[in-house]
Amino acid sequence: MKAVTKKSRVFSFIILAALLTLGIVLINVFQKEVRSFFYWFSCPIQKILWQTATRTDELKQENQYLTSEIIRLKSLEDENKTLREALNIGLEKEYNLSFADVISKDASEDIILIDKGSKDGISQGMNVITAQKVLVGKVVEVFNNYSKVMLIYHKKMSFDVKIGQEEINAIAKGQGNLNIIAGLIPQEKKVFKGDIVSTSGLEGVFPEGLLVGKIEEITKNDIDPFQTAKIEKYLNVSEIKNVFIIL
Amino acid sequence: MIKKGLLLIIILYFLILLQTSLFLHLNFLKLVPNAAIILAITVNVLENPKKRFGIYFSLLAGFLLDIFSSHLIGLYMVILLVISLLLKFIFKRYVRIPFVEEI
Repeated sequence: MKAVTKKSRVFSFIILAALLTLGIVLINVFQKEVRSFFYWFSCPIQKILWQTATRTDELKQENQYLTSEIIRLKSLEDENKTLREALNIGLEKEYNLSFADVISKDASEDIILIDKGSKDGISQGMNVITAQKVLVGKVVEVFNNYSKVMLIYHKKMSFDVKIGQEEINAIAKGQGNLNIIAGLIPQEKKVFKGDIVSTSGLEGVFPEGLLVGKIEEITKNDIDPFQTAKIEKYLNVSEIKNVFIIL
Repeated sequence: MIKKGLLLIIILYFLILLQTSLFLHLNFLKLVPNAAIILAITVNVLENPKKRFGIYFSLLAGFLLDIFSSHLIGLYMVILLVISLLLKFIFKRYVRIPFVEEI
C-alpha cells in the first residue's frame, strides 16, 4: 500500500514538473505578448512612482541649491542657463529627436523602460541620450507603447570612445551594476584623472561627441600592453526623468 | 484564507512595482532589496508547512519578477519554487515551532 502511494506521489510529481516546464516554455514563446500585457496595466502606476521619486530628488537638490551662496550661485545660474540653451539648440539642430519619459528600471540588470514604442517610430538599435548630451544607451526591445533601453553600464555594452583633449582612442565597456571602464588605452598615452570621455563614433554604433563620463582612476601595469581606467559617470540613473531617442 | 491570499498577492504586485521604481531612488539603500523574494520567503516560513499556498505564492512571485526583468521568463520562478520546497521540507522534518497564525 505504502509503495503504491509512494509510486503515485513520484508519478504526480513528474507530471507537475512536466506541466511546469511546458508552461514556462509556452510563456517564453509568447513572452512579448505576455510582457506587453503586464506592462500595459503596470506602466501607468510605475510611471507615477518613478516621477514621484524624481520629484523628491529634485526638491532635495533645490533645497541644497537654496542654502548655498546666493551671489555665487546667481552668476552660475546665469551661466548654466545660457549653456543649457546653447546645448538644447545644438541638440535639435544636430539630431532628429523623440522625447520619452522613463518608467522603471529592471530589477536585476542595467536596463530601463521608456514610454515610447513602435507606435511612435522607435525601433531596435536607436540611441538614447539626455538633454545634456550624455549617452544613456541603446534601444534593445520595442513593444507597441514601450521600449527597453540597455544602459551603457550593461555588461553586454562596449563601444569606441575618445579620452581628453588629445582624443586618445579607447574602448568603453560596461561592467554591470552601473559601472563602466575604459580599456585598451595604449601604455604610451598619458591619461589623467578628470579627462572627459566621449563617444568617438568610430564603430558606427553611437554618433560622435556624446558624453560618457570622466576618468576617475587609472590602472597601469607594466606587464599589460594597455591601460585601463574607471569612468566616473555623468549619468545618474535614479535621477533621469526623461530621455531623447535619436531617430 | 482566500482573502488573505488575495491581499498577499496584491501586496506582492505593488512591492515589485515599488522595487522597480521608487526603491531605486532611496539613497540610504546602497543595494535595492528584492522585496518580492523577501515576502515569498516570509510567507513560506510563517505558513504551516503542511499547506501549499506558499509554493503557489512563490511561483507567482517568481513569475512577476521574471515579467519585470529582462531575462527569459522562468528563472526566478524556478529559483523561488526550489527555495519554497526546501523551506517546506526543512520545516516539516526538522523544525517545530508554534505557528502564531496560519496563513
